[in-house]
Order: sequence, then C-alpha cells, then structure tokens
Amino acid sequence: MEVLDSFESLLTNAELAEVLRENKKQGNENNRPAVVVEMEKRVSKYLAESPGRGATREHVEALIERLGQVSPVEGQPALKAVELHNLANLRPTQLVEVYAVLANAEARFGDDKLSHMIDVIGECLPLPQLSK
Amino acid sequence: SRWMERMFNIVRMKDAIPIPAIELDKPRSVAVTNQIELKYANRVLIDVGLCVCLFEMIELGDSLMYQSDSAVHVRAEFTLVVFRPFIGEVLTGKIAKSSPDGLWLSVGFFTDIFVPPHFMQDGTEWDEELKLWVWKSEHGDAYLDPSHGDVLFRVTNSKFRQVKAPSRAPAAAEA
Repeated sequence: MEVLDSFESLLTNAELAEVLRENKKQGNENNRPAVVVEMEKRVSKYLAESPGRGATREHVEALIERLGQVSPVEGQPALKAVELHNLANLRPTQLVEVYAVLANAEARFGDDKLSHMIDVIGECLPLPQLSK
Repeated sequence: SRWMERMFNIVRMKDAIPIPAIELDKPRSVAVTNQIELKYANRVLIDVGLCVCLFEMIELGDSLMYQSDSAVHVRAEFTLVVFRPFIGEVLTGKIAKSSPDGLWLSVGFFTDIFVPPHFMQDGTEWDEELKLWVWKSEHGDAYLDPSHGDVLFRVTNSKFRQVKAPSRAPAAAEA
C-alpha cells in the first residue's frame, strides 16, 4: 500500500454530496460492502444538515472576492483563508454566529462591517435547501 | 491553492488488492472496487485521514497469483475520498459523551472528537449532579446538553495514534 498524494485535489462539500447522491442512485447491484454503504449514508447525513450545503465552487469564489473587499479596522488583521472557509461552511445569518467564527471580530471590523459581511454571505451563497 | 482546504480531500493511492476466489465471477473493476472499499472504508490512514469511499479507479494493473493462495492480486491505482478536517476549521457536531475529563463530540460518521476542559469557553464547569458541562455567564447558565442540539467546535489538533494489535498468542502456560 502506498500513498501517492495525500492532497491530490480538493472536493467541496457540495461536490461530495453530489458524488454520494450518484452512488446512492446507482443502487447496490454491485454488492458494495455494507461498511461503505453505511459510511456514505452517515457522511450524506452530515452534509445534508450542514448550513453551508449547496455552495458550489463558483459561489465560494464569488464570496471570497467580495469579502476580500471588506477591509479591517486600521492596523488589524484582515480575514484569513481559514476564516473565509469557515464563513462559507457555516453560512452565518446573525452577528452572534460571526462572533463564534471570527477571532476578535469586534476589534477587527466592528458591527457595521460584520453586518455587511452577513449581507454579502446571504447574497453570494444559496439558502440551505430543506432535504426531501 | 491551499486556502481552499476542505474537510474532505481526494487522496491518490497505489495498492495490490486481493480478490478472493469467490468474487472472481464479477467484472474485474467491480470486484476490485468492492475489495478496495472493504479494505479502506471507515478506516484511518495514519497522517492522511478517515477513508470514506472510492472516488475514482485510475488504473488496473496486472493480476498476480501466488502459490497456495486462491485469491487473485490486482495492482491498482485509485483515489479515495478522505475526511481530514484541518486546524482552525469550525464544524458542527453533537455531544456524544460528557465526563469530568471533557466532552466527546460526534459528526455522525466520526466520533473520536475530544474537547478537554481547558479548551472550553471560560466559565465552563462540570456539574456533578446532572453529569453535564455548564457554561456560567453573567447572562445565565447554558448546559452543554445533547438534547439542546448541535455545538460549534474548532479543530485545534489532529492526532493519529498507532494502535498495536493486541497479541493473540495465548498466555504462557504454567509449567
């Protein structure tokens, strides 16, 4: 057994959800082992309950660009890559949720800019769909 | 670029996959796919992550047979979907177990998530009577109760532990 590349490429949660949906649609005529069927079921459930579900690569790229234009208070650090990722995944709709995700949110941006970020997130990312 | 790190990665692997004789009536790619998923699904690869499923079969190589082994071994190159949350990632999870040592969280497909007391919000204490952690603030008490719904948690560390397989040798017999 050899790991050729432990980070060959990335998969957005929305893309993985699509892959798992396809796998499920194909049914089990090939007798896939129970362990993988169960694993996919549990991962699908997690993705279906994630607030950031439905966000495609394009949605996230648009979000990154627009949030990148929100400048921090003078001398304070701007949004980090990790924070952009977390904002996209958690799709906050209230200030209290943004405070949970961004360290020193108030000192770095202030409530006005944070509220603006929430608006931008709402405009760039799709509303999480209710599962059937 | 690395800024787009995700909790799920695609990992490229090379392996020799044994196909038991009983599976040889299936088309080769199906038999190999099933054996790969049987071997890797829900297993942790050290320093790589928790394997979910096969992503793509890249290449099937030669089939080899070994003396007194009815299985056919097929060399394969393939990609797997692997769960590996990165440091700083914030996830939603459910409380699986509360103890004075800390909190165990679960994301459904993975339950080995531990929050030690010193990583909890300031003001969090253990309630011995209710056997729950409670966050005490000036605005009131919030119990970290599994029935109250999901919690947000930030990944601060990812530990892979080498587990030595327990010895199956019988205990030495008394003389």
